[in-house]
Amino acid sequence: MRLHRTTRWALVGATGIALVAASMAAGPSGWLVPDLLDGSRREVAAIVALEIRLPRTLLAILVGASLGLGGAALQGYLRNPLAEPALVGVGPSAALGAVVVMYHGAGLGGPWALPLGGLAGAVAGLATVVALAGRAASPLTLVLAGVAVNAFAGALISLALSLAPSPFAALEVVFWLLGSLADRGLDQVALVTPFVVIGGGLLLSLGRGLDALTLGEATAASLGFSTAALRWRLLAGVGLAVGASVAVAGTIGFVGLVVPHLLRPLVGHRPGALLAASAVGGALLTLAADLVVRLAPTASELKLGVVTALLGAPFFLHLLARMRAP
Amino acid sequence: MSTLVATGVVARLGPRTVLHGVDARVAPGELLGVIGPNAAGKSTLLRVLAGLLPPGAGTVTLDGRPLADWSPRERARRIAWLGQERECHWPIAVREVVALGRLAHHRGLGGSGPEDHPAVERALARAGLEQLADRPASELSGGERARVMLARALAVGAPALLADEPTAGLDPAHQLEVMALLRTLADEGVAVAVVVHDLTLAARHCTGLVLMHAGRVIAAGRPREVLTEASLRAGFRIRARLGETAEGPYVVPLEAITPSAGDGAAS
Repeated sequence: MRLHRTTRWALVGATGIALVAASMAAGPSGWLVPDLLDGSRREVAAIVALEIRLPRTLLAILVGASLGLGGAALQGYLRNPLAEPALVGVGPSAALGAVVVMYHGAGLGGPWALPLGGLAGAVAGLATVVALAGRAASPLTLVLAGVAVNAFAGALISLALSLAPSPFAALEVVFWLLGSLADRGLDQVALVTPFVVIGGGLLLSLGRGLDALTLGEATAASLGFSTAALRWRLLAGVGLAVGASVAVAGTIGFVGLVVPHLLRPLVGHRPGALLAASAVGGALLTLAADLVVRLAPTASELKLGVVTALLGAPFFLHLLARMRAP
Repeated sequence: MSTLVATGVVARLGPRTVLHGVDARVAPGELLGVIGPNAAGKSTLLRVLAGLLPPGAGTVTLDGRPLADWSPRERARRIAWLGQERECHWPIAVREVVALGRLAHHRGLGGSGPEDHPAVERALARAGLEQLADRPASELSGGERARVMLARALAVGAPALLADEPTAGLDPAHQLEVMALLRTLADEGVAVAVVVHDLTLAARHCTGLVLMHAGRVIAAGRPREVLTEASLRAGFRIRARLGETAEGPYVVPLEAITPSAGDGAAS
């Protein structure tokens, strides 16, 4: 599909505005617009809008943008279309940090305890990957170190689950791991925003270096781009942005993998141009998936991570099938 | 105008010493051919000259200043390097691949500058790629991709160009075109060094040759001085016929000399 650049961005902008409006207006407690217009119900409606739907909408944007951007940056750096943020160990270790907090939950309390635990986990996981992969890490050692950290963090989460004091505690952990944006407040939005902004800025600054890496590390170096410097910015950026996202929303799969895939042909396959596009695409996809979660007529609310995987996996298979076709 | 000078360069790849005190000089207007058998250290020499591999001992200077003192950006604008690998990891259009050569000139948050577009179009034209400019580079044949990579290096517009086997995998016509193009660049004042395996191509097009063997330079000078039966035997372990035609010298390798048989042939 060849559309003019302006037309394309206008479409993206219109979709974004529509999704944000829908995300603010629609939810399990019904459409807000008539309530806001009705004097007697305006107060309650305003509370719902500001304290429930606004944080949820903002978080969907922040988390989705982080995942899309992180996926695009990792795919560009590793020159592998199968890379996603979970690959470098950030996701599972952030989840582990959050699980540890939940496990000892009663004593710590407060809305910040869980995300801070997740962030600490993300930092610890990333530090381990960097230490394991060494200073002169090749893409392969980086991925292998990520796989090792993922496996270890996963094992510790399983250990925590099997030693859970009560089935309810275990269930709470499992539900959190599935990923959700429900019941988050503006204070959690305030907590993740600086991390996502700084991490996202680092990742967006990689554009030209990732373009140069298309031709291999030696050619990139001959063009003035040091792979080591790019790697540090990449790991710090993914750690901050994706680590903070997982810390507050749990694990939301497939966004970081599918979004760059979907958008790559639209930017002429250039890894640098894909970064900003994937941030926007990730935010839109997560907003849309969260709307599905809220509006699906199920007894208890679906988990966002479940919906992204349910939508993402078949879609990914479809992409693969199309890639195989002549 | 830029001059690259290597003096007493020692280079190591892991535990192995690949260059043992190599001297070389690439000056404006010169097309320096680097020849020698496999694993002689030719590519390593080019990487050291390009600043991609710091020498373990000895110095490399660009216009009299040690290469290490140049910022990566400044160095990238002055020395274009073309590796053997010809990697292109995404199906990017040929024109975009060639434009990657201009990345060395971009600074800060700014995008492409006014000189970028003409430089890219000129590089495409010189490498004869106008017809292929909109095709994804990953769909091209090996030989076509080699020319794309050459155009990418030309697009840098650097006063020094180091090309590692740019003619490998090309048909004879394209080999001749590439060597003629490199010679034209040299005539325009670019300092060019090229690794070549075809000795006749090297003899005909290069202004000077460096013959390497086991990490050392064993002969250097004008092509006719470097290419002798004795140097080919010592450097390449071959017996060859050297001749002259109206168009220039030629080299026909006749047989490989095995170490034991070599002693017999020499006597």
